[in-house]
Amino acid sequence: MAGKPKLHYFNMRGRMESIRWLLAAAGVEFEEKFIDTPDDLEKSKKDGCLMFQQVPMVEIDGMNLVQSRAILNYIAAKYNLYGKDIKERALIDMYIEGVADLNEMIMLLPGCPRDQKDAKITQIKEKTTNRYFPAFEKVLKSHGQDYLVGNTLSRADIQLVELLYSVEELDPSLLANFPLLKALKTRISNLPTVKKFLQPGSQRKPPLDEKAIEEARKVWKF
Amino acid sequence: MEMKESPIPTEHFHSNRPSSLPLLEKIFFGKVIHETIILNPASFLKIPEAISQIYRTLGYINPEPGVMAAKPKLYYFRGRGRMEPIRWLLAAAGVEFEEEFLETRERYEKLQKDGHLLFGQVPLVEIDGMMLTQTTAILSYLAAKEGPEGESQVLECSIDMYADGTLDLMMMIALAAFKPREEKEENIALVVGKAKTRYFPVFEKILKDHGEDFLVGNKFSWADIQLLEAVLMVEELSASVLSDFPLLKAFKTRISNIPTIKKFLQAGSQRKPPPDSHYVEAVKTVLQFSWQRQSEQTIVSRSKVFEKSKTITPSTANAD
Repeated sequence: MAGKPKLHYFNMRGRMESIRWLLAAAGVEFEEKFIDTPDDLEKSKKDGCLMFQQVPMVEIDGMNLVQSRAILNYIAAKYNLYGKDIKERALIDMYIEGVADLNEMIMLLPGCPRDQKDAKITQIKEKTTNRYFPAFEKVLKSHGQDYLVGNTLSRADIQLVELLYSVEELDPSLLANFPLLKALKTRISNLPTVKKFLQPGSQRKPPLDEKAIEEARKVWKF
Repeated sequence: MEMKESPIPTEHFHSNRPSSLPLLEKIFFGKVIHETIILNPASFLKIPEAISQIYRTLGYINPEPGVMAAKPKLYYFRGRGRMEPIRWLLAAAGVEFEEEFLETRERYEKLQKDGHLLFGQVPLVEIDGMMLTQTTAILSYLAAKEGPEGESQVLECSIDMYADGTLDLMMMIALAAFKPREEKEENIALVVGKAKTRYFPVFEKILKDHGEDFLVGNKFSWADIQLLEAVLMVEELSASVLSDFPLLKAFKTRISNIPTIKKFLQAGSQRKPPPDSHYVEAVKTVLQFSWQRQSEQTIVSRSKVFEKSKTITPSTANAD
């Protein structure tokens, strides 16, 4: 039996969090090696295991995978969370790209200059309630099923619910007018693997608070 | 390590004709093709060996062009942007497609009202009864449908990885057109620098290590098409950029000579020119955004932010 996947990243959510969610939801145990200092990163680069000198990187099945999308695609396909055929996969891809776009905006907030932050948050909330949440609510309404695609759990459900939690951290009221999204969130959260991941002590990472950002600034000098 | 069976089916290459010709088994990467691939022996013999091998790799030769499903239809601005990789993929696979160019706000709003734009965005591709948006979703679907993937999830993963890298580079170039004119020189230098120090060396090394003609699995794939596209785009910014990359140069020539790609590279094809001020204006008109909002939206989303400083920041420079 091969070893557990090993995740190389900073000790924070960033671009690795979706990968953690997907592995956890699939019931896959994984290890993590945290990059804590610029020297750690330099070492990884010198070791030649970062194809484009970037992280996330995941050691899995004898590969050093980079590019979060490629990593997620591999995990989803491997654990049958990617639809049953290419048409279902196309729908899943479409939905998760939308999720990724919104998630990206939220993820980059901590790096936003202080004077632009409020405007950025307003923009995110506006996009959430006018573009993204309605789109997914509509999908769920159109087929009335428990899952987004093919009446089966897929990465689309997991990644959307991950996003719902992030949005909730930003502003809990945003989910108020989307009953089907709320129901999906409850349903997915109650899956045993996801429930476990949501409990304290799991490998899920907390959001970045002011203190964490300050510490990061000191270490990484920005 | 046992690999679970890929949920993506192997019947990528469908035929509408009875199987009166030999079944070609295990021709593609060890996957057994469940359906017959039709090769008209007569036309096959007329094609030079190199080209026929490429067609074989691409999946099928359809001797009767009339027997085809409806053409895919692309909805986008009249320019490269995020649609260009999709045009390349279709062209390389020999798939004819139609295009509708968005020129007015009204047309865009109608597409939205009709519920075709899932997230209110283009690119939009109408194909196989679906209205698909999201560039990578479309590319993945087309690649799986029209051309070969790797022989296993492991190789498919390499294709994904390489394609994502080249897409990053191309998006930097696409977005540079929307930045202020004063920053143009600086942006070009940044992009060319990234190409020469981060992306091209990687692919040069891949080609060197295996010594094969194609990036993945010794077969023509989506990764090869996108790398060629990216290389040509960077060359438009700096003609000598390939001077230190002999294998990439050879690769460029080789892939450019594939008949479908050669055709796409000729004048009069559906390939779009580099973005100019008309294109930028058209996009701004249809999407009705100001420069300020644009820089917030698209620079932040889905692109690797230009590294403004030399210091390493976890959230930008080194996260992918």
